[in-house]
Amino acid sequence: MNWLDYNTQVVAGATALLGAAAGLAGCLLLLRRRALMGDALGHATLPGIAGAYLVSVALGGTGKEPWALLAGATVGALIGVVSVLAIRRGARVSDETAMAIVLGSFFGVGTALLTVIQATPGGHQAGLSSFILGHAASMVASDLRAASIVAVICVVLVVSLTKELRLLCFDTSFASSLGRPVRSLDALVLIIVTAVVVAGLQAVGLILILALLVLPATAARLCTDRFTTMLPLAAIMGSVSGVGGTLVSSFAPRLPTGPCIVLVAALLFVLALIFAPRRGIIARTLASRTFASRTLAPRAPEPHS
Amino acid sequence: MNVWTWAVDGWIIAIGALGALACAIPGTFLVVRRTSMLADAISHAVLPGIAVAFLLTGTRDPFFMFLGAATAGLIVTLASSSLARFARIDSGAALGIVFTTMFALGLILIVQVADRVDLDPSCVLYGAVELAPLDSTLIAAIEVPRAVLVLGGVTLLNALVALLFWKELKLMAFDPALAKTLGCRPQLMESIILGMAAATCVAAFESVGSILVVAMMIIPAAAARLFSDRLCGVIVGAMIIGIIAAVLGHWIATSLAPALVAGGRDASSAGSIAATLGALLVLCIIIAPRRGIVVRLAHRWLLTLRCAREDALGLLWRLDEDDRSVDVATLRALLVGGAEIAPLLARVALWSLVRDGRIDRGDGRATLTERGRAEGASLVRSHRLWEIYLMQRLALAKDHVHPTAMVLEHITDAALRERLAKAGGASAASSQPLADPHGRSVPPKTDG
Amino acid sequence: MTGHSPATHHTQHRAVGCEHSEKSPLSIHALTVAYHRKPVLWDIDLDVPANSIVGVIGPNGAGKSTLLKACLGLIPISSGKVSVFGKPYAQQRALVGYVPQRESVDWDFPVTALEVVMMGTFGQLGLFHRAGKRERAKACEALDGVGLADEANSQIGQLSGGQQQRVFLARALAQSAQLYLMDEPFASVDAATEQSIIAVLRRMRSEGRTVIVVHHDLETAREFFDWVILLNTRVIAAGATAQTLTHERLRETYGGRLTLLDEAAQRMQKAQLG
Repeated sequence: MNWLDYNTQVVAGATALLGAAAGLAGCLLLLRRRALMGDALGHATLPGIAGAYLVSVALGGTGKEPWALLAGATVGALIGVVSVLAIRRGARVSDETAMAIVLGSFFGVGTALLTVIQATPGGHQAGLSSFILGHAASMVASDLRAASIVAVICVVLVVSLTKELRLLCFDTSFASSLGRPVRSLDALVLIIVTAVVVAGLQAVGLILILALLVLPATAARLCTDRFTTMLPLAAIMGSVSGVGGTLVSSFAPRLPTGPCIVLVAALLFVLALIFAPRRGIIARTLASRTFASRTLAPRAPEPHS
Repeated sequence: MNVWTWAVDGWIIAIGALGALACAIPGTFLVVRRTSMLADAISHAVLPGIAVAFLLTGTRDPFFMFLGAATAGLIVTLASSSLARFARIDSGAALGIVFTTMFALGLILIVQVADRVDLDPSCVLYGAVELAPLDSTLIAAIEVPRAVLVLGGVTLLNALVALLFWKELKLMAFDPALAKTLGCRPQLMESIILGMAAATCVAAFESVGSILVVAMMIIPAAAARLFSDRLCGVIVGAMIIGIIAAVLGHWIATSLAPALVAGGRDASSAGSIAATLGALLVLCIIIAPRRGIVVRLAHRWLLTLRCAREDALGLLWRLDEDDRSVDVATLRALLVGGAEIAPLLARVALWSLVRDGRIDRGDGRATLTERGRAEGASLVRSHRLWEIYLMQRLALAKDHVHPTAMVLEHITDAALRERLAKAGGASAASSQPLADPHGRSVPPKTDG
Repeated sequence: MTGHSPATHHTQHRAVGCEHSEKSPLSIHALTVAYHRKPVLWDIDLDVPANSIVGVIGPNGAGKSTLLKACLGLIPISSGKVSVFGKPYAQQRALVGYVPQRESVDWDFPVTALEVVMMGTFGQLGLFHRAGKRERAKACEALDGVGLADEANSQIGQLSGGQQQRVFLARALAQSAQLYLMDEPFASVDAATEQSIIAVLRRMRSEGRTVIVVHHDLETAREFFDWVILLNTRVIAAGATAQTLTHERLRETYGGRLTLLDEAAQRMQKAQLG
């Protein structure tokens, strides 16, 4: 029983903050109907990380400076976003196809660079591949700081721009008829998501970060019909997943933290799917049963407005 | 390292190429049906399938691994579509939910069995195409890698399915609504496409890795789409692009990468092939005929040049009509000032008109040759006929017709011109020339 | 019909250079719009009379929605000028309200009817300002104006199609604009909703506002509109309803397509795309 030790506290704190930020960012992605952008972004960080390592080594560094690697990841993700938009236009393909293209080719570049790096002296210990599947146990106080900065920025931006973001996600053409900077707001959403993805690399890795973006947001959507409720709910669910996953894996050290966090989030989603007040399976079964009994009853149904 | 040994490299390329062939058919359908991320989802979701298969059977027998992976592929497809439909969740989000959850589950399961067997999750991601030739069986006295057999089998199976249901799949791919009214059972066709995609993903991920599967399914098809509007053309194009990438990618991994990085070793072939595919797509976006950037730019420039040449002839013809004569420099100034043609373009246009004998610049004056006069007259005729038409039919104001006619005159050929003339009231019987809204007479027909 | 509307040109329309082009709520001069380089609106000239309900009528693909979007700057225009009360649209945003097509938004979105209506007040709010009591009161009033006060807190997906359309209308009311551009507000609503929508539009007119409505039902057009614009890529006719909605004009709008111009448009697209 060592769940109160300092290390666990750090990891739990960081993943809770990260979960909250991912919940908020995920709501925006989900309502903008771009959920899978998180996946393309995540995979696109890998060549950035590998490139940052190579640059750092070439400049005489160790190649392990966390800020350099995260900066590389950010650059990779941003290039990925721009590529998705450019390929969609240039090759005239759907959003989804452009994401799959970016995801596959960027990850390919990353993999190729990674194998090259691992063959160089010192490359094997660089631990770059831990970004793919995450390695929460190695998180230290500086990671906690990074996660809290991202979370605070995320919360401040989303809270102060709630009204604009809701307008953007609901009715883009109306927003631009009001003269709103629709393109900048859209870019802001993607930048927030990029920040969350990069901050989450250490904890859950670049593949599972998608889960942290999508699961709490979708679960929150099932539970409420209000945008202003959905946002904090998703943030709370994200935090609970973070803390829950960390605790579970600290009780059972054989369970890696990242996947545990995702499974806790998935559990919350399943609970929402079953018990959500209006859209849950139980509520809908009951509703359809009452509806059936009402329509099958000899008495004419009440007029539905 | 710089020299390929065919017993190894040949087989690696063969596996990559066969992977491309197998992926081309379902990949094309995924791209045209706009469900490309399904490839990504399936290839990630196989992880728990393999882990469970191992937990249940206790062996790494490829058959059970394949069975587990196939089941997982089926689950992710079915679960995400029913989640999207039942819980009314955006289909992308549903896909993301299902496959990431399954992937997380797979990671946890794999850790549990890690001390009994070496199931490396990153092996699933990158694949081990370099090691695939080692796992071979003897067929007709040749050591054939198992991966070649599997991928070859899947390719044949996909081709067979595509041939059997070609008409229905084609209809389904481009117009599901019509397919339904024609009784094509779109649900069944959709399942066939998904089944093909799942089987191919599962067969290919083991040898080439799940990310390369995504790249191999989607990128060649998207690139080939730039070259062809026909389903058959897209599939064949995707196959060719995939094979090129397999050869080129492996060459980059084994020859280029070690040479570039000092003391470096071979890069991952799967990763290099995926990266090459991405680069090929960019190349296709640039050079594709009709839709490529180069062709579009060149086309636009040629069009602008043609318009500038026509404007120059028209201008000279009108000056002639007023009995004015100008030198070349003045003509150029008039083109730049009046017709808003870029100075360089005006220069090139005039130079080319002089060169191919439409404008004569003897003794410093610019005069139209016979050929140039005929073409100038045609252009002015188009212009004035359009002005009449726009006035009469569109009830446009007199001061509005000129700019529109300035655009339309350049896309008017002889046939359209004569139809305009007829619509404008010219009859074969009357020799009276038509007059445009500004009182100028329309020059007579000069061609045909 | 009000005193200074250009009723004189019931079949023709000009860039009227005299005084009422300054007062005209919407004045369009030589507007051409192209999608993928194919012109969908050709050289449009219009001066919409103030204080009236104007219908934009034409077949599918005639460019009706495009006309509204071009006026609002939602799509780039190839050439021409649009002015709202004599000034460019960008300076007059606060005076213009927009009702998009109902299909253009996701009705499953997690907002309530009141929240949607409150979006109409955002035009006057800065980027970081939150909507306060005043905005809420205004939205409630607008919602009440379309008879949906009881549904204020319902999620929009739970409303019927007609109610959703009225929510959009209430959002426009909350904008308190002088000129409204509405894209198919009568599309697939029942007769009762139709009546309540037209009642709202008439109330807007009586308050001195101008409403431009994209419409496709010829049956009701005569009853609803003071003024109509018959559109099919170009303006076939524009003017007072009685004189403009003639059999001949309608045939020209719906039947006789401008074959030569159409052909030219197609050639332009082909020439420039290669």
